[in-house]
Amino acid sequence: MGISRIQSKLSSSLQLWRQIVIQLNLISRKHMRLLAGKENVVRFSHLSVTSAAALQASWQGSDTDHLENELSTKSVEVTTLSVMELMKERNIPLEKVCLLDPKAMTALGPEDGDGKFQWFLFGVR
Amino acid sequence: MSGLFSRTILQFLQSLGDDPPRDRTSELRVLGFPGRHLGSVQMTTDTALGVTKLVVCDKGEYNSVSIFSAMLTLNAQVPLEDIPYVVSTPLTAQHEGQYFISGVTTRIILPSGSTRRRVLRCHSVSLFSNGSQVLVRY
Repeated sequence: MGISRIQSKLSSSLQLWRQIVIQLNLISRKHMRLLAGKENVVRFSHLSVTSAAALQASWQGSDTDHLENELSTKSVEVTTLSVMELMKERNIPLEKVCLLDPKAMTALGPEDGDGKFQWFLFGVR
Repeated sequence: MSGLFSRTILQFLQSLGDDPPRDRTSELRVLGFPGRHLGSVQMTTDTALGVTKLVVCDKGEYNSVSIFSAMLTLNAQVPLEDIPYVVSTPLTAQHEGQYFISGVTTRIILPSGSTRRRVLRCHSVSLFSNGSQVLVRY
């Protein structure tokens, strides 16, 4: 058994693991879109080209779930741009974007929805 | 007001498939965004989104006793401290100590281990129609 065979075995199991991680992430992203409701837009930014394509394809996949079909594809956007690039492109100032941050000093309150912020930003781990 | 919220955008800077995961929040913190926390409950990002929407987007009167029906029928705006986390139900008994928001969607995603998760379905209700109790992962 040569080194190349071990290498190829290792690389295929790594690839499989990566696929599993990506699949699990897709489930979680779909869940996010569902939770956001159809009146909001969920925008996934800073994706690699591969991830963006995978995510885009997952929205358009054969989805028999009526719940998800209620959400138009308009309610989700996928981009390779970073959030700063996106804000610049859409003319959104920094103070209109609320970062959800466990270390923030202030708790989120209903008043934060009253036009103070245009976007809510989540850093996905 | 609903027009205002239809323009609300929930934005993610995300890492699809990063393993080990990177802490994007600290990367974003240094950029100077105004920040808000969601209380002391540890939660995943999708639940954080659900909680954020409950707090800032959903409008109307609500009744903290029957918050589930309030959310579906009156579409209530819910202060953070009143978010109904479900800590233990028959369905979640095996995942003791993990938090769930009750009454948001039909799908539960239960984490088991750090990276692996299990997807379950429960009652056939939806976010957009009146229905019975459902759970979301912590």
